[in-house]
Amino acid sequence: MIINNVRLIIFCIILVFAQFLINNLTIFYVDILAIVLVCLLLGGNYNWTQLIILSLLADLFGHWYLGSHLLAITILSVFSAKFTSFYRVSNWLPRTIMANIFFSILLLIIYLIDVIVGKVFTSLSSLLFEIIVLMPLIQFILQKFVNLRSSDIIFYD
Amino acid sequence: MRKFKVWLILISVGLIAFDKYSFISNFRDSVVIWMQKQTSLLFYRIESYPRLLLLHTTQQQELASQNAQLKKQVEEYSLLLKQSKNQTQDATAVNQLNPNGIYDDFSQIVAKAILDVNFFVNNQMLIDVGSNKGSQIGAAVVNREGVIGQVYNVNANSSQVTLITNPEFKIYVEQSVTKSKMLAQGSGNGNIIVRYLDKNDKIQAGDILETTGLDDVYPARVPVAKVVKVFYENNGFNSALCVPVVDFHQLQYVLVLKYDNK
Repeated sequence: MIINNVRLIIFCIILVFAQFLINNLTIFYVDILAIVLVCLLLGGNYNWTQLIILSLLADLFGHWYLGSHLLAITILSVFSAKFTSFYRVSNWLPRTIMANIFFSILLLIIYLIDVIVGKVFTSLSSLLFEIIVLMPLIQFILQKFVNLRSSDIIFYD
Repeated sequence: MRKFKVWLILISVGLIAFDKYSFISNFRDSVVIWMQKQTSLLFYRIESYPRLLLLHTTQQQELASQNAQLKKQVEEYSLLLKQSKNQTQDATAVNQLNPNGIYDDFSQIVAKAILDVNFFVNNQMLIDVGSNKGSQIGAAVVNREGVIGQVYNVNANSSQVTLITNPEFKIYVEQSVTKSKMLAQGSGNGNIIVRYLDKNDKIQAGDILETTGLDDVYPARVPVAKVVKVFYENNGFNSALCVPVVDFHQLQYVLVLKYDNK
């Protein structure tokens, strides 16, 4: 599994490092791994092991409660299956819009979890930064460098 | 798949509760704080490194110029200190020129001895007082040890002194113990010779010859020379070879004496 996902692993390591730098050295507080989760979910080319591991890592490095991302992505997966085909054949703009919508829903779920548990953090500027800058960038890199061949795509029900 | 997702939801809720109500949250908080500190420090170092580098270079240049200035100052001060030390020594030497006040009957002028080539060749000496300070021809030149010579030429700012070893210099002296009078003359080779000593004169090697005070040039009982050898000359008289009591090679300050007609 590691060999099959080498590019994704390397990409996620880079993203974790980038998230760490952005969160600690700038005014933004971003959740880059959540973007990757959304893109993987919408793209359909994932397995649940990947999603679980990425969710736990996103919680750890993003300083969210352990299980927040897992809960959110599990809830999202109920609705995303219907949009996967449309997402795959769309151009970059519809893809970005769809990914942003699902990403916003994921963040909303995590925000609600935080409200229930008692720790809340909101930053509109960070959200805008993620939606406008990071989302298209990560989608582009995922498409061009991580998922290069259609034969690599494996569909799981 | 539905069952799987339900289990996932339950597990994630359980994880959230476990995180909230256990030590994991505190541990994560402390790890995050530590990582933030290290990152801030690293960022600060990266940000300030160019400034430190520039400061270091600028500081180096400033330090170099300060160093050069300080070196100059140190040299100046060490020179001043040397001069000051010399002045202290000079002041001590000047104060010691008139021990016991034996020259108090004379007006005294302190002069600095300049041992030039004349000293070595002509048994003469230059001093740095002239007519501007009251030096005059014939004035006695002495120091605490004894007689040095006599002024024979006066300029505006300097005077020439004939040393007692000069062949042209003569002085009446007396033996310090017996008080027998005799005439001493320079012999030209750093010595003084006393001629025409009567055989009955009790003079021997080691005796000190002093001034008589009768010539109104030198005070009385100032040492002039020390007898080295008494010998017989083929004229019926003895002669005594003497050396000056003053070491001319160690001269620094001298006194020029003018007799006060009180």
